[in-house]
Parts: sequence; C-alpha cells; structure tokens
Amino acid sequence: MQAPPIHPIDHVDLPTPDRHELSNGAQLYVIHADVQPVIKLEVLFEAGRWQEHRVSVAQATNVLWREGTEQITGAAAAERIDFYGATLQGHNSLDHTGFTLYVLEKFLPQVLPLVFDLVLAPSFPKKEMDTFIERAIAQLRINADKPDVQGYRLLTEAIFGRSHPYGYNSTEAGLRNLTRVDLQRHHALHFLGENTMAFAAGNISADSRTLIIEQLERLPKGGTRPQDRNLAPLKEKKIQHTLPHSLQSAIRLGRNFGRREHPDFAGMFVLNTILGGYFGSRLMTELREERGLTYNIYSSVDTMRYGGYIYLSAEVAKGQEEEAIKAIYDELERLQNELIEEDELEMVRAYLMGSFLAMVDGPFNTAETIRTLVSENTALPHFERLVETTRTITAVELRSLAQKWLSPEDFTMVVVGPEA
Amino acid sequence: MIQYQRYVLPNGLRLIVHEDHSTPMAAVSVQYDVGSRNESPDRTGFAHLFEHLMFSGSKNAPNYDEPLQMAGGENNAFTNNDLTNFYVSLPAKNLDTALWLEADRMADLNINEESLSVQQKVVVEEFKETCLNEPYGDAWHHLSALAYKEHPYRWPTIGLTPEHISEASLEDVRSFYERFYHAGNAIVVVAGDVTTEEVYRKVLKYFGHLPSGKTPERIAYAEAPTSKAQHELVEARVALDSLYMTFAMPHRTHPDFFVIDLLTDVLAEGPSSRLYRRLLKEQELATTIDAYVTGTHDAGLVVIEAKPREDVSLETLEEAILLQLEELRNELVPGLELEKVKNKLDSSMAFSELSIVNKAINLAFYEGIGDIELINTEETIYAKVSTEDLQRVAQQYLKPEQRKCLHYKSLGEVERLPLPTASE
Repeated sequence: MQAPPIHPIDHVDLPTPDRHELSNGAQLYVIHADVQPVIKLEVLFEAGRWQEHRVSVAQATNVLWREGTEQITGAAAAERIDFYGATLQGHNSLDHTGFTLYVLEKFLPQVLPLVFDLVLAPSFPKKEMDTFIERAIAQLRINADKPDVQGYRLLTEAIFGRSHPYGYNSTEAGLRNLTRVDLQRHHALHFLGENTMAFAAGNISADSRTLIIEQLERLPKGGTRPQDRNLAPLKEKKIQHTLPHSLQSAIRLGRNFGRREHPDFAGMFVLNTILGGYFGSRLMTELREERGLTYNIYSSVDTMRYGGYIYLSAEVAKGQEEEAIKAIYDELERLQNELIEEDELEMVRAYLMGSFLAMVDGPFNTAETIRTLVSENTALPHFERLVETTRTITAVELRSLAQKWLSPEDFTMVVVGPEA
Repeated sequence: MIQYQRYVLPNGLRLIVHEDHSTPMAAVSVQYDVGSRNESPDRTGFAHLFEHLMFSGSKNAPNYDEPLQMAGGENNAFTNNDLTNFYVSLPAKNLDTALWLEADRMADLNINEESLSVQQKVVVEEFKETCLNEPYGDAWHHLSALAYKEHPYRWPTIGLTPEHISEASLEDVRSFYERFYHAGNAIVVVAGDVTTEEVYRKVLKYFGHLPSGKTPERIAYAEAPTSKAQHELVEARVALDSLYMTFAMPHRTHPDFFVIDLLTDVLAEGPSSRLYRRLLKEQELATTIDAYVTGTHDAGLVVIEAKPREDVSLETLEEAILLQLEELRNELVPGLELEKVKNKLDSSMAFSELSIVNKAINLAFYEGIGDIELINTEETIYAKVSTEDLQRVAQQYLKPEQRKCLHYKSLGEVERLPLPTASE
C-alpha cells in the first residue's frame, strides 16, 4: 500500500495562562482545563546555585526544608501528605529550589497549607541533615564510577569554571562543611515573595485558585538580586579521565552559548535538532544507524537562567573513540561547509512542528513549557518566535550559525573511559 | 474510567479504540505477544534485538522514521519478559501515516544482513551502557537466575551475554518474525482525538488484509517453591554494598496480586512508608530503600532493594528488613495506613489518565494479559482489600524461609576521580 498523504501543521499557539501578580511579589500562572480532578503545582524559588553563599547549600536546603518545623516533625508531615495520596517532590535544577506537588483536587485544602508550613519555617533538624549528607556522599561515591556522570561533571567544570555556579562539582568536603546556619541563612535570604514563581496546572476550580493564592501570599515580601558570577573556563580543551575497568568511553563535547533569549537561540534550536536533537539527526544516523558505534548519541542546547551551553554526548566501545570523535567532527564541519538539502530541512520543520504541538498538548505540557520560559526569565512570546524561526529559517542562515557556533576547535572535549 | 471499544478482525488482530477529544493528538500502540520468555536459552536477548530490527524499514516505507517525522510524530518501543510494544504519538490528523507504517512493517519487514549487523553492534553497546558499565547494572542477571530455575524469566530481557546477541543469524531473525510478528499475535490500540468508527475503518483498510499466522503456544512453567532461604554473593567494583531480597508471588491477574501490590506500597511507597521511615530515617541503616512487585504475566516476584550505609553490614540490614516483614505477618496494618496507600493509588491512576500514550500502552497491556476490563475494575479490586487480606498475604508469601537474597558487595577498590577542591 502506498503512503497516505500527510497533513502539515501550519501553526501552533501557546495557550495564554492566567497570570496573577501577588501582593508579596510572587507570580502565579494558572493553566486550567476540564480534565481529571487533579492538580500539579510547581513552585520555584530563585534560590539555586547562583544565590549560594557556600557550595551545595541550595541542594541541601532543597532536600531539608521538607523535614519539619518546630510545630510538626518531618515524619508527621510526610505521613499527612502521603495519607491524602499526594506526592511532594523537590525541584532539582541549578537555578531554583522548590517543589512540585501532585494532588487530587479534593485534597488540596488538606495538603497545601501544610506544604507551606514547611516552606515557611523549616527547622532543619541536625539528625536529618546528617542523614542527608551521608546519602549525598554515598551517591557521589557511586557516581565516581559512572563515565556519564564524570563526563558531565568535567565538561561543565571546564566550560564555566571550578567556582562558577554552573561549573563547580559537589565534593564530600563541601557537603561536610555545611552547617544548619548555612541552610537557615540561605532559606531566610531567598525564600521570599519576589523570588517565587508558581505554576498551577490541571482542573483548577475557583476555590482551589483562591487557596493557592492565599498560601503563596504567606511568603514574606522581599527579594534578592543575583550576585555577579564570573565565567572562568579552564584552559584545557582536551580532558581525559581514566576509569581502568570501564568497557566504554563517555565522550562529551561542549562549548559556552548563552541564554534562551540569545538572538541565535531559535536558529540554534533548529540546527541542533538537525545535528543531534532527534532520532533522525545526523549524529544518530551516522554513528548509530550506519556504523553501530554507539547506542545513544545526542546534542542539545542547554539553557539556564543566566547562561547556557551546547552539549554533545555519546558512549562508545573501547578502541573506537577516535573513529567516533572524527565522525562527530566531520558532522560539525559538514554543517559549516555544506548547505542542508531542502528535503532534510522540510523533515526537521515538520518534526519540530509536531513536537511543538505536543509541548502545548494538555495543561501539564503547557505548564511545563511556560515554566521553562518563565524560570529562564524569558518572555512567553519567545515560543512564537521559536515556531516562526522553525518555519522560515533558510539553509544559508543555518550554515552561518554553524560557522559561528559549531567549530570543532571551540569545543572542549572530555573522554572518560578505559586506558587506550 | 476509561471508555473503549474492542474489536477482533477476521485475521485475529485485536483492535482497541479510546476517544479523548481534549487533545489534538493521537497515540497508536502496537503490542506483540512476544518477549524474552519466548527465547531459547542459547539465544537470549533476541526479542529485544528484534525490537531494534523493526526500525529497519519495510517494503513500502524503506525508512520507518522519515514519514513519521514528516507527519510530526514521535515514536519509541520497549521489550520486557512478556511483550514488545511499539508506540507512536502524532497529530491526530496524520493518524493514517502511523497506521500505514505499522501495518507495512507487520506485513513486509526489510530483513537484511547489513541492518542486522549494525543493530547487533548497537545492542551490544546498549548492553554495556546499561548493564556491564553501570554500577549494579548486572544485578538483575544474578537476581533472575536466583529467583527462577525453570521459567525463561531466569534471564533478563537484554540477554544473558553480549555473545548471544552477536551470534544471532539472519535465519533466526526470519523465523522469529514469522512466528511472532503477525496479525494473530498483535494488538493495535488507538487513543486520542479520533472517532471509533473512523479508526475501525482505517485499521480494516491497513491491517484487514494481512495474513494471520499461528498463535504461539503458551508454555506453562512450574517453579518449585524453596523451603530454605537462599543467598548469593556477588563481589564487584562498586562503591557501596547493595541488598536485593525476593519472594515468589502469583501472576498479574491472580486476586492476591493486588493485595501484595498494596503491601509493597505499605513498605516503600512515599517518605512515610515503613521501610523508608524506619530503616532509612529512624534506624539510619540504609541510604536507599525500595519495594515493588514485578507484575509479570506468569508468577512474579516481590523485590526489596536497599543499600546499607557504609558502616552497616548487609546482614544487619537484611535482619532489619526481616523484622519489618515479621511485623506484617504478626500484626494488622492499621486501617489508616491502608487507606493511605489506597489514596496514593487513586491519585496515581488519575494522573496517569492524563496522557493518551499512557492510556494506549495500558489498554494494550490489559488486553495482552487477557482481561482488558481489568483496566477499569482494578480500582474496585484495590478498594476492597482489607487489612486482614494484607496480613494473610504477608503470612503466605513473605515467609523468611522462602526469601532469596542477592548480596552485592563492594570490592572496595573503586577508582576515585580526583575532584577539584571547591572554593567558597
């Protein structure tokens, strides 16, 4: 049977959320739909690594604010949240601390005030702090053996610098140095109204909305200015780390880029998709589907609130590192030297339009898209620009972006694996 | 409550349609009743390797991905002990493209030496990446072999060794395709912004003429119950010790399955669960802890996994877990605690119904275990579980003498990365 006709997707719109500016400076975005009676509430505090006065304090605060107040123990709070079938997860990113709460709408009144009791007045019990440090160190030790984790650590350190919020790596010593006073200070300085952004998605009644606003407004007024942080990239462009017993090498390449609002971002988003951003990408096709060098290879443009980088990642068999690296460089150079054929460009446009549609499909996906933009301090119309660039960017424009951003010599390369 | 319509085409293909007009997308899930349980012991990992080969293109679609990407679609697949599932999500107006691609590779897959040899290499790298080169990545190789002696569940889906994968021949591939990949052994689920009538018409058009092969025979395996606790010791280059404890339990549709599922939630679902609260937080014996059921079509396993703190032995941690199980046998779980795990389950069910891909995969799963209506009746079954039921299954299935344990021990000579000293 012959292929059925394909109906192109001409436009994708980001649904406009209800935006509330609260009396204490907090922002709330509400994405309502008539779906199952569930709510996903994500609350972020600008209290991440950028705001730290001491390394690892954001990570520790993020875990330990849930461990109780002077009035209620962490165990009792967990018991109550669990009892109502809710799930409270810590938010884990470099820029923010905070939480995601999944709850049946009918139980929101039982759960949300309690969550805010925890947020507002954590007691950071000493015992919980010790347990956290032990667990975090155990995880560091397990990760010491993982080529993928070590590759990421070494690369981000090289791109941003050893003391930079996006570059430093947690250490046992750094974790052991933390005190309760550090956590109290981090919490007091940064868990404030103006540092707060919240995203409520699901089937949200008027009562639920009022409750969410009321609880967010319990946060104290005030906000903090981010400190200035200097990029201090390492000089080395080739970093090799040996894990003698490893069967594969983790290859990581990266270079500094910029924020999502960088004028080249939208074009680089399309270019990255072609390079290594989807299954049909050039890296996947050449290194996996043609040569069987790797199970998974991808590239991405990772942006954060204050910066970003271009990242390439693959695990390859021992002895095939050089072939793989050469093949990756060949693909970078091909994008710099040759124009992308119209067929390929059309396919990437079509694929991306489908993925944009999925990004705004239903309240949860929509909320996630909005959260990504807002948390990176990017205005919502950025989404339209991304769609528009995807539809209209030319092969010539993509080639000049490749010439600007994808020169192999600008990348830092990390290889973690067995001895050659 | 998930509304659906079920059809069986004359060639044996089962079709499930679920309408959800809150989305502009459609999800298509094609599940074949074949998993690693259908492999021969000297060619393990084959069902999963074959999943990769299903992307080699077919007669009218020499490249599977290109038309799907042109249609704005995404796809993926997974294989486990019992089944292989391929799923697509795309704008509903391009549903035809997904159905056409799936039908074409069900009918006429491109099978050739070249794609086989590339995918063998890819899967061997996957084997290394996920099992051999990953701390504890081979734990399930040891655990499966310890828990099962007769059943093909005794090897993991990725396969026993990379050699089994690299030794597969083109002939093996052809006969596997013929035996398992045909209309009579497949379930098609379409969910999303579609109408049932339209889907039925289209599926008939694309799949209706495909031949039906023979439905493969289901072999029953009997595992002899163990009457004495068994332990296996593995020493490996990992940073920390790890403990795995298993107990045999009934198959997915057995009435006790649901009770045991709730019992493992009492043990380890959420931060107020017993093992987490008591062993990790209060007694500070473990750094991670989890308990779950495998949920296989045939008799499955209760699994408890935990990593002791560095100054705690595997034996001490094992004793502490056994004490918790003893309490479940001797004392009733308080009603409120049972209500808690039921609330949690209600909540996770409601959340999972927000994704049409989830719904499509779940519908295929329940159809595959032979009781699609279970997707809706399950809720009532869980709701009826009593605290006495929990005690009864704890007494019946969690006997200490029937445990099988894997002690995964650190050799202690882990390479440590010389980390930079963080400046402050």
